[in-house]
Amino acid sequence: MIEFFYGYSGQLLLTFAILAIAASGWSVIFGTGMFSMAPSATMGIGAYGAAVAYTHWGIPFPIATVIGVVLAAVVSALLSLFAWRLDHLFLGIATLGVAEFLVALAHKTPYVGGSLGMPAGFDATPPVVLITLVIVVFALWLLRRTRLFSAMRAVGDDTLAAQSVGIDTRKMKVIASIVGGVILGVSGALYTFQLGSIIPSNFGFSMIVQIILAVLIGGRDSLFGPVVGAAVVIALPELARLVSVDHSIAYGLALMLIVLLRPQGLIPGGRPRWLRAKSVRAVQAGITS
Amino acid sequence: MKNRFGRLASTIAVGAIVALGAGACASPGETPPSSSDDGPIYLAGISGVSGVAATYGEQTRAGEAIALAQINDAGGINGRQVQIDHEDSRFDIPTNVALFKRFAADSKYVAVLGPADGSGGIATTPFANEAGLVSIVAGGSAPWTVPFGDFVFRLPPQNKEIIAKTVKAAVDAWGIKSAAIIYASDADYAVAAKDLYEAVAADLGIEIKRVESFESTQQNFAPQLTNIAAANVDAVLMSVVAANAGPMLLQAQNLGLEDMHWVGDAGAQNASLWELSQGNAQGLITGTPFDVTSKNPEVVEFVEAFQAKHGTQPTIFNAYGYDSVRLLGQAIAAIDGEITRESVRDALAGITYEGVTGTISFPDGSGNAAREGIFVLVMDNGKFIPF
Amino acid sequence: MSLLIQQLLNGLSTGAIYALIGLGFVLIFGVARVFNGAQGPIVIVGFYLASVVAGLSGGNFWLALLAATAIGAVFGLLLERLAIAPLASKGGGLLVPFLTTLGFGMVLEGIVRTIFSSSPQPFFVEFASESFKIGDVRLGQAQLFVTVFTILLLVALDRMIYSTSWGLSARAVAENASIAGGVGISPVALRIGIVALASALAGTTGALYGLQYAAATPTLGVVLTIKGLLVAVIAGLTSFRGAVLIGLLLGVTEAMVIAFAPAMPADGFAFVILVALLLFKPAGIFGRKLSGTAVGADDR
Repeated sequence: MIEFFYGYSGQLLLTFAILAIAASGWSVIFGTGMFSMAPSATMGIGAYGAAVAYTHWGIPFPIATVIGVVLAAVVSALLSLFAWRLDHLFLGIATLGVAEFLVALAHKTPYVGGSLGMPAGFDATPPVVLITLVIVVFALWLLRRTRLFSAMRAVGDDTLAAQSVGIDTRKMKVIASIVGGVILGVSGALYTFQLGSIIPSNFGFSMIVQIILAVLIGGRDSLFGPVVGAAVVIALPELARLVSVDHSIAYGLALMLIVLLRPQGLIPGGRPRWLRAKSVRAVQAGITS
Repeated sequence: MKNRFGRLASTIAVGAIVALGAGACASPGETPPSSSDDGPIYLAGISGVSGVAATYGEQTRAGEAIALAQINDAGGINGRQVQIDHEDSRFDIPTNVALFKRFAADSKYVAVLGPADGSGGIATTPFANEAGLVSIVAGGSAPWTVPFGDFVFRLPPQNKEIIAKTVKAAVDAWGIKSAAIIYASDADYAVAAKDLYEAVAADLGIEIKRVESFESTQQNFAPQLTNIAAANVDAVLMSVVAANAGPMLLQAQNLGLEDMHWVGDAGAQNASLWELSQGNAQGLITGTPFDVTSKNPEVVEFVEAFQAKHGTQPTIFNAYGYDSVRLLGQAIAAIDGEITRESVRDALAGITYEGVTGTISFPDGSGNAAREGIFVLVMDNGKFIPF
Repeated sequence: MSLLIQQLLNGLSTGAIYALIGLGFVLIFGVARVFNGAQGPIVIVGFYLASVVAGLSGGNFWLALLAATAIGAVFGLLLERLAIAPLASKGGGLLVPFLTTLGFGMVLEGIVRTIFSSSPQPFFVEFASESFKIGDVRLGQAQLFVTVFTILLLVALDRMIYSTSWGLSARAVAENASIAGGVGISPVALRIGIVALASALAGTTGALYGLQYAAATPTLGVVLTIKGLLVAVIAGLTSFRGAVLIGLLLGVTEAMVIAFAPAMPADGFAFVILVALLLFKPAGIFGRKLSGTAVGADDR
């Protein structure tokens, strides 16, 4: 068992688990209609917060993780304020700008090691990572049964309709960002303590692409969509390696195929239709009156 | 129709996951240990040949290939052929770690050449020590942020020596009194080099009038060069690799820097700089442990073999790749008894190797190589010659 | 003062490249409601072919430019057929076609890397690296050429879009997708034409990029896609002239950040300044609020 996790595929499994957690976190944010392109930044704040607490302040792993997660949740909540004013790709670009700026800033900040990055411990052992993934999925499963989640989804389905049935859409977006931020922060802290060191470019554009692709390939509406998507995102370059094809070619072809054949993702998932139908009726009522 | 497509797509995805799982079960201990038989000696190679800094991975591999061919053509090591299995790290940290673990789990590999870059090497250092598997890091001039342990061997000399000697040469030859610094703000070695330039300049009484930085994805340096031109300095101290330095030197011609003195660190020692700068790298000096013009027979043999295959002067990264394989080869050849990970490590710890980048030994038993001999070279019509 | 003018010119010549890429985005978005994730990689394909043609023809830039433009158009047709057309009937949001085109771009990047390796590819043309000097202000021949050529190209495109009947239909469709059938042009033909035109433009941009910066690597495509995305979104997605202005503005902003705030990361900082503009004009600076269905209610 130990040997397995020490091996290559064990490492891939851990990388997958961390990406699956991050993608699950982002899917909560995206679920309220916010196309935030800063999941990597939130994750990076969690990672750096935990690393600074651990290495600079000598705080042990569990508490350092909590510190990173709290910071990530705060940053994620702040980022959601953009959504009060911006929508869709405009929101995407604004958050991407913040994400790119934070990475560039980390490169130039000696306190967090600049381009050299930060060392940290190896406390996130394979069982810790995998159990965390299970806990996150279970917590999201619980969340999905609440009215709060239905309200978040309603905001995502149709903001105007949600407003018209009395949902405070801004509040929902902030709450979703905090929930997503906590999960992204957890994935960031695990990333730090699993690899033992981090550098700013770990949380650059390619991480954004990985997280977003995992959600969109897997299925944005389902509980397991992001998890399955993360598996595909991690497995694809490995398959390309097996057949000696440039990994970009493999990635690109797979992306085109999956998306063309399955636009809603591999696991489309059920959305709460009753609420959607209700919100549509509410809009129609608003138009006709 | 739609359902069929759906099923197909799901099948692809499930297939991908199953393949991942299957690989998971198959990989540990695929083959029996090779150390006791007469089969090949297996080495692993980790370097990035795609991603941000892909060109260094490619250069390192090209150098390794020359050395490998020499060793195997001469009958291998103690009659056994050597095989290097390469994987692409894509300059991605988790991929570096995953690859290292993969090789570590397969007992046939007795040493790893790589990761070829510093960031990757730092990330895999703890795993190398945990697995008891030698990691030879041919790149990365930035300081190591983690303890080396017993199993990590790093070839490049300390950048500090290179920079001190090169800037001193520039002062002696050109009498420079002021300078500007330009460096890639997102590369660890370049940021470290900037600090070294500042320290060395202070020692030598050179006034640094301007410090400029750029992100390595940029190819447009006109704004920075304009600032440097306005600062009116005697020389530009650069920590810029050839991919950026070529366009930079070309653009400098248009911005009033035709007569500028350019000083580079080891990363600039790349003959393709001539081509990339369209001849404007003329007169650039660079400090390096690898004197490509040396009459030393080892160097001549390497340079001739490289030129025969690629038609150009080898770069510093080609030389590091070459030396890392030869160094390992010499260590393995000296092992009296079984070739194991442990015995390879012990052989390296006590080695003195005469390489094309100078004499390499590890006084601490691992970690940084002790090096002497830094040469200052100058670009002259597409070739580096002694300055 | 001359320093300021110099930096302004530096910014404009970079901005010209950004403007071309941003314009390509807006052209395709306007007609097909597709955010083209392959724009940057097609620029890189143009660059590599131009570099090869320049090498074979002894440094003939015009031949290289022509070849780059042609291959851009060819890949544009492929892009339209493989990544855009299959989705056209399905409706759906913006993200799905963005992903398919992004996938197409990744394949292109992989192909370029497989053929040419990851090492930087040099770009030789007969343009001597000479510069003009007016007072203290210097302008490189290549830099000047790229700026002037781009401006002429943009003026020509502007005439085409604003003064021909074809351009009129394109704009009509861009304003309101549902009237496409009513303007007497097949929406499919229009879409194919626009995607090919924008991609040909990307190819041209590749050759101009080579002339100005002298080298490129396969990975640069992604960077250019992000820059173009930024320009197009901030301009408001549907305004052709707006994209050109914002492209130039982005180039100038970057140059000014480097000139006057060297401690700040230029890329990121320029990004942040433009993002701040977005907060004042949430639908982009030259954009109007698009109808809810256009910018994908289905994207959620």
